[in-house]
Amino acid sequence: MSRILRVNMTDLSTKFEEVPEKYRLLGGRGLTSNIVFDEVPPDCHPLGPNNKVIFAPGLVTGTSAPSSGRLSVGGKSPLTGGIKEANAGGIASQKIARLGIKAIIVEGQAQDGKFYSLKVNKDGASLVSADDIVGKGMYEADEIIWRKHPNKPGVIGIGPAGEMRLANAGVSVNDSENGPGRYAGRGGLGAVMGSKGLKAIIVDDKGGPGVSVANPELFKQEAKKLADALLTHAVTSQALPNYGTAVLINILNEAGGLPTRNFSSGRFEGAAKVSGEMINELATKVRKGAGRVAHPCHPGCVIKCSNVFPKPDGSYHVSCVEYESDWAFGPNCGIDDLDAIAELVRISNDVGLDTIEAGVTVGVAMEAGIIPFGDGQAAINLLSEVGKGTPLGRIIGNGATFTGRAFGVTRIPAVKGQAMPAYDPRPIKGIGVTYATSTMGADHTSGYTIAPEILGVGGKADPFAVNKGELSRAFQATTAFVDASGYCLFIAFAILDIASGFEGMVNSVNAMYGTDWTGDDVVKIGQQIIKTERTFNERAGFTKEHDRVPEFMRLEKLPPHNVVFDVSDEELDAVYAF
Amino acid sequence: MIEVHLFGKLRRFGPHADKDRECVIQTSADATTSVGELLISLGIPLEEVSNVFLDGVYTRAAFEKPVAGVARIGLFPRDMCLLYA
Ligand code: SF4
Repeated sequence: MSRILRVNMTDLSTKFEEVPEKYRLLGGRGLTSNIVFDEVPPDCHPLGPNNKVIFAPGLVTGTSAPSSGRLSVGGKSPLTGGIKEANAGGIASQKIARLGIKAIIVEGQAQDGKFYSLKVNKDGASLVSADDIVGKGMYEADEIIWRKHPNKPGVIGIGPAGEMRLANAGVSVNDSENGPGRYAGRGGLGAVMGSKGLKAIIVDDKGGPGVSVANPELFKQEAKKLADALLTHAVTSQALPNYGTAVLINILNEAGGLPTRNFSSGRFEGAAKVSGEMINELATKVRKGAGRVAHPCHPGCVIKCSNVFPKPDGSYHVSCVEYESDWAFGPNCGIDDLDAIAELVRISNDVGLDTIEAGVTVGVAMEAGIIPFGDGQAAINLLSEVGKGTPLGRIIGNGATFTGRAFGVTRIPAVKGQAMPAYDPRPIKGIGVTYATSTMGADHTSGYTIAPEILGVGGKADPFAVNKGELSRAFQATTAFVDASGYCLFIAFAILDIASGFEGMVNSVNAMYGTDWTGDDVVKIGQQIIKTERTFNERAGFTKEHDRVPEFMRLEKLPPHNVVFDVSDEELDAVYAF
Repeated sequence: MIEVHLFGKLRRFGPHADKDRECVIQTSADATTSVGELLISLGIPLEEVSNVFLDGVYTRAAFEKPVAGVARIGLFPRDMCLLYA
């Protein structure tokens, strides 16, 4: 029987609670968003005593189902001021689930200004001093923790950015090699952890009860259907393992939707140099050494979109250089040097920053003339300021919107204060609708219409057509369910095209919980999650006028297609008409 | 003038196979030629091509389309098939 672990940072106590009936069939994002809705006052200060940070494995996390080890982290976002769910891979989520823990709720604030680590294992949970890792970057912190804990625990932690409570501080999760690069990055939840005085959660599942499955035979059969789909579909069995998500660099560049030099063009002349093809070439043919493609971010992932990018001498540099990070520090900053990009990712992983927000922030700083576009070393120096806590570093660490304001920049590609990911919404309208209307701020993962618009997956849609409300709505709802299930969102490529894979996804959840949900229920459950999030945001002060892309995207034509974002406000407002 | 941009394994049909720069065939064809005919004339086997962009727009059934007015053709191979045809 799983339980909820409640951690009170004010009196440094921990207690286990029964799971209320209303949370029994919730997991991942469904659970974190409902707990935030039920327990966090929408008007609270995100870094104050009344905000909470919640960690929840998905519904099937901890089982043998393929690619199902995702972790949801929720709270009120210091970056957007609205509700936030940030999602990460890594090894911690499966361990939390196998300890029989459905969620960890962290509340209150340490009164002595000190930092603590939460240790969770089969015997219970306790808070201990984090003096051994405080002030340290996540690489060193993870290493110290594994040295002291021979069972190779899962580590959820914050770097100096989180300790400084900067609005772009992410939450790190370690991978199987104890690298810190699996981030619940978006929205600044690392700062919420920091505000509570929680430096790390150390999860050791040795001897834990494991997860229980209502109908193990059915579960096995349905999980296999999903695995078969993932191992058959061209995207999940070839493109992602071979080239990683960065396969998209050349594709989006060809499509004219790869945001370049702070969203001033949709094509980057240096795209080939930073492409998935080039990463594959350097990691597996030229440099080799520690280089790897087809690297899983957690045990049990069959897609394996991750990589290990090597230094020129073949030694380990960083894991991983994926599409968003590659783009954010690469084309978006006019940088065509993979080694510089890898170093910028490493700094982000160490200091504890979301790479999308960090890269867009550096792009905005370049726009402001702080450093020139295309200068990799200057970008490395600038981002290094964050960990040092200098005034400039703190500005950069607070994200793109804050930095744009600080330097009088008007071209700030953000919605609800959160930076846009690697798809320009002007030539790809549906993703723009998702950016504008998502409860999370600009977030591609909350309704990945790129699949049909550019990638031709799950039905085809014309990227230039403006009637995208319905498409975005359907994707946002299905995505919310996938985020609740614990499955990696990348299963979507296969399940949208292969019916038995979709059945396997839904029925594996059914087999685990004894439910009989159908595809329609998936959409309804997803919509319910989004409604809950939307209501929280309304109470936090958001209106439909916040569901808009920045003005410059309606005014400035994006080459090479020379189009503006021209989806009407009515179309945007219709997304939530369910 | 038509530029044919080749990616992944299709680079071997172009002037070089360097991954760090664009692999582009410069060619021309009369307006009634179809995209498929043009590619065959360049020695590119159509069965190895998964996704086709015409002037930056993902285009289904592109092989049948005439090249008239097309300045740039982007071709991705089957194992880069994020574009599921
Ligand atoms: S597909 Fe990639 S991101 Fe998803 S679980 Fe696997 S390795 Fe992690």
